[in-house]
Amino acid sequence: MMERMRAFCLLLLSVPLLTAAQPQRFRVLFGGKDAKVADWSGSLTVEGGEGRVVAMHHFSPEESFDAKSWKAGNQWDGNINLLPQEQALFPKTRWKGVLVEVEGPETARVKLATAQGAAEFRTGAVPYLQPAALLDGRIRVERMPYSDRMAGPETQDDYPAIAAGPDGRLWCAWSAHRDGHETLLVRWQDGDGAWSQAEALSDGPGDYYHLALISTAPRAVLAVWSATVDGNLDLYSRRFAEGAWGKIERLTREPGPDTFPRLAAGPDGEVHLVWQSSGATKTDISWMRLRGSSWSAPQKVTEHPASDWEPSVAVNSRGEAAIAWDSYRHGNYDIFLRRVTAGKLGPVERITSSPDFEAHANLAYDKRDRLWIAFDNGGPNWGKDTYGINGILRGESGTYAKRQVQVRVLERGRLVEPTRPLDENLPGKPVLGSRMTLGLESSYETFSEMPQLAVDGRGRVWALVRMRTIGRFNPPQRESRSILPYWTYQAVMFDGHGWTAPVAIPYSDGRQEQRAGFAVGPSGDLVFAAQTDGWSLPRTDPDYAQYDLYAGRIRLDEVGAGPVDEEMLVGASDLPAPVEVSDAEPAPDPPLWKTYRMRVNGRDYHVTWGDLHRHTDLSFDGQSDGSLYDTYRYAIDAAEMDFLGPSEHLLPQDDLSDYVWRMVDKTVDVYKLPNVFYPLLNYERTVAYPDGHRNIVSRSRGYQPIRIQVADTPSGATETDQLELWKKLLGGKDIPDGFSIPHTTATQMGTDWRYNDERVERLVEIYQGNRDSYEYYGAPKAAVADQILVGGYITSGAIREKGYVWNALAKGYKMGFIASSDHRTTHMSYAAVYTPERAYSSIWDSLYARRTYAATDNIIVDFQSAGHAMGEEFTSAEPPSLEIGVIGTGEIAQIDVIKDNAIVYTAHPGVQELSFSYTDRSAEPGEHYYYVRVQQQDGNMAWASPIWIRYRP
Amino acid sequence: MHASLRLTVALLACAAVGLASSGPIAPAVQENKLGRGASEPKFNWSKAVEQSFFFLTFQHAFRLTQEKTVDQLGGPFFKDYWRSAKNLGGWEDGDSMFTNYVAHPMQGAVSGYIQIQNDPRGAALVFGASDKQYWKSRLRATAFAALYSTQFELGLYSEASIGNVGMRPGTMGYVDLVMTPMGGLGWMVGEDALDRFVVEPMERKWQNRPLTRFLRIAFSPTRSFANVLRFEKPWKRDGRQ
Repeated sequence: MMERMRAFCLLLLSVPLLTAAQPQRFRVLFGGKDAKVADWSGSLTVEGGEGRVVAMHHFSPEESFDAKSWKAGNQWDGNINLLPQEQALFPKTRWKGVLVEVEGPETARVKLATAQGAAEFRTGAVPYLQPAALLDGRIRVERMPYSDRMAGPETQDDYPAIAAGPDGRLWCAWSAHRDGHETLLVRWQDGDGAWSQAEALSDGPGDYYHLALISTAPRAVLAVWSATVDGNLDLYSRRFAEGAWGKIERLTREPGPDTFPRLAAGPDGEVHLVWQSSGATKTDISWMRLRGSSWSAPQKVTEHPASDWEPSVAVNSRGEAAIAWDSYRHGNYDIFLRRVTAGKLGPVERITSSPDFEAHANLAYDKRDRLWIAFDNGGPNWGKDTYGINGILRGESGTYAKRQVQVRVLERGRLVEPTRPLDENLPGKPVLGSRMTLGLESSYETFSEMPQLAVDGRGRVWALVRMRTIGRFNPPQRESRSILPYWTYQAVMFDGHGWTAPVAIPYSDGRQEQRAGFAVGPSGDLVFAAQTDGWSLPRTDPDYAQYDLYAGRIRLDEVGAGPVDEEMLVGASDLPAPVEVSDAEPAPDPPLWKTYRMRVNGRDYHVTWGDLHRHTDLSFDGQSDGSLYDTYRYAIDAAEMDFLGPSEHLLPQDDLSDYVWRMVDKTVDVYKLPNVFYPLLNYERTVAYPDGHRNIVSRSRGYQPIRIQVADTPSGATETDQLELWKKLLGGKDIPDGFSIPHTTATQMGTDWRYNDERVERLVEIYQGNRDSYEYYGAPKAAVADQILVGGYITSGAIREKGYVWNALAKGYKMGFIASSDHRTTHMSYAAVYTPERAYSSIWDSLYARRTYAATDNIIVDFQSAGHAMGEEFTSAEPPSLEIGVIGTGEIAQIDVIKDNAIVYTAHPGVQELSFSYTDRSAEPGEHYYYVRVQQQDGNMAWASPIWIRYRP
Repeated sequence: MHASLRLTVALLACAAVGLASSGPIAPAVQENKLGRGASEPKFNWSKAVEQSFFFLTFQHAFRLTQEKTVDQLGGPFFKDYWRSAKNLGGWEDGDSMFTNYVAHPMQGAVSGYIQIQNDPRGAALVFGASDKQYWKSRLRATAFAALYSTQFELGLYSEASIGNVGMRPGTMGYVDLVMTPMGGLGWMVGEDALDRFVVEPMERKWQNRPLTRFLRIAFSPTRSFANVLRFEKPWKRDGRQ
């Protein structure tokens, strides 16, 4: 008790100091509502204080600022490349601006002198949520929270966590990347506003992932994190108390990943830990608690055979914990809840039941112990059949056609939804400036996602949400896609009736999946730790592509609104009460396409399904693809794949930093579900025709993408780049460390097949779900001009006829076939692989062995010859005889046997299953290749890899 | 046996021998679950007969719009049919040059394409002057056209039975029985060659879907008609979209 009193006194003393010590921060925006582009260059002076410009907002490389002035206009930068019909939709000007810090009292006056006129404001007159409009609304001033940079440029800082102790001490921990590995670091800040030096939380460099922090006693903190040790991802914890760090304690030991830890504490100091654990089939949710210094044994919150993802936990004033997560148990993501009372788990309750994607749940109890549940709504049919740009235009879902944070409130069995949507005051619907992006309806929507809830000292509920916005520009030399989105954090507050306009969190711009830390301090202030990836900065900026972490707070006394009304949910819509559901459901029998085995020469091979070319938001053109995490979810749940290789662009200009590749590399361990799902490590070397784009599939973790040798050539690379690539992949060995897969080969992304190395180029993406088939000109689903331009939007680019796959086969190149998705499209393109075991190495070896086929649906194709599987080559004294079996997902309209670039056999079976043998009685001596192509009545197709037969009668 | 009947039997026998090279009828559905050793689905007789029947019916329906056919519908069916069939003789049949040397070859090509589109070893082959597989396929199609033509002229569901063509001397000659399959072969080869050397290059050049469809129909009318008989789009090609 005495300790708490001391902490309280210290807190009271420290608040004025903090207020005085930290600058006030304002974002000054100009020109966004102007009808014409104008020069908004200017300068600032501060009367009664000191002021300086510390950052810019949306400046181009040609625009600049220093501490007292800036040179900028309100124009869009880069090639916007609008179609004529889009001109009217697109605003001529945009908000640009500067971030200003002011040291001084609330009476300090900031004077702005711009080329368009002068304006001024008093700092105290611009509280949070009440932006000021100056110069007839042409200048907008918003208060932003102050935040401190946690680490310098020598590290890439990620996975932040923040906690506030009862003594007011802030704790901030994160993963700091340097020299190829991470170290967990922690800093704290006492009342004087000075942060401590960073200390190592982990015991050395390693593979660290998500972090959680909680402080339940003065000068004490508990950290829980996930780390890969000896190949297994487990949870570890460490406590700081009485001035010293305790030992690192391993909390989980089961095989499979344990990650996404979340912590919450009750009024008695009992700490609840929930996390995503590995299950018998897919992922489960687990829970344990810390009482005193002892952890309880882990307990499963759910063991349902379906995937259960990313839990959240909150504790009410009576010490009851609520645990929420999202589950795929009903064929789409729904939110589920389970409560813990007196240490016992209650029944599983279903909170949402719509066919929409409802995921990424977050919880908070308000002062009246009502449970607030926030989550993402991603619309219906998430991850189901979507055909590229055309599909998006038809309103199909893909994985990122919609995101809207939704909120439910649960009070004594009554479930309500605040009438006003959370995003109603978020910045309006962005219009994105590129042909590619303008073609998507989603470009016109406001995207809000990944909510984190907190209840401030006055009982007001806040939500920190990730929001897609525009502003990242690309170099003018890139012809299209010049204005791309990035994501920022915004904090919105429920004021009793609806959600306020947002408070923008500074330095939170980055990719979609960057998660912030968010908590409430003892004074009721909101504290946050957010990071920027530096991508929105000009390439010339020293912090470009630098992951930096900033911790700060939103002070209650700077928030304009008062305490909320007691009846804050008046007008809320009642929803059906949560339904208790059984968790004890047996795993359903898997369909035949998940269990089929091809028997070749006495050995069984499992058919496995995957995708080796799929982008995420990490790619420069991944604005419609969703995050890396959601991409894995799509593969595991919606598409029920066995493997996935997210394949980000490696551009000649090196867009992605080493750290991003490292992050992608590490994430493999988070989604590796033994015997169920294996992430593969890919990247896409983006070299234009005639060299061509190639996906590189790495043999194991720890990959280092092989950079492109840039040259002023049509392809953008040197003449020897491709050969050097293969040489490096081989590294002097017979089997390379990675093999290459060209794609969209008959387009400007393709190749004229000038080079080949059979040791490295083992497969070709004959069909791409986002675009077309590249088998041969006129082949089913092949690209032709009127498919390239659909609704005015380029789907494939110009055709390069030399790039059709038949041309490569005619040259004697030996490549197996796969299909993959690239962008947007979902559930419509598969790389099917026959593998002796379900394991990373076995899948990689089977891909390398070309024991593959391409398919647009889960069609089973069993193709072999004389004891040799598809993809093999062999010599035979007998006329080539092929064994062909197909189990379709619909009626098989046509099946073709292709020999040496000619269709030598075409049947129209009109059935769903068939098997037969085909003997080439007219074969001439010599080497021939044969493959099988299947076309279903519903348009789905499959292409088995060729078998090369040297016929020597 | 009447000489003309002997010739008819010989023609039918030749056609049957020609088609026999495409192998026995194989069931379309294999009951096994991808078991090994099932023989390949070969020429689909049931579909070919069905499509031929549609074609025959179409042709007879057209004939029924002609006054000369309607005038001969009366009388005893079998007696008149026999009288008509046994009058086969000579080359000419009194029809115009267009009918005998254009329309009948087209008929032969349509019936030949019925064979081709139901023959797995020929359906997607493209013209190749030195491609043995191509010529084998088209000769099988010619044999089928001969069979079809004989049925059309002399079978139970024929010109002889419906409208009693031949009952009037000089209206039943060998020209149709020869020109239909042989002219059909030439027509098919011509369409195949045009498809390869004219249509496909133009498709590549213009890459326009409506134009592609038009070109395929315009340059391959008999193949287009055969497609319709199997309830496919006229511009369908088994080897390309």
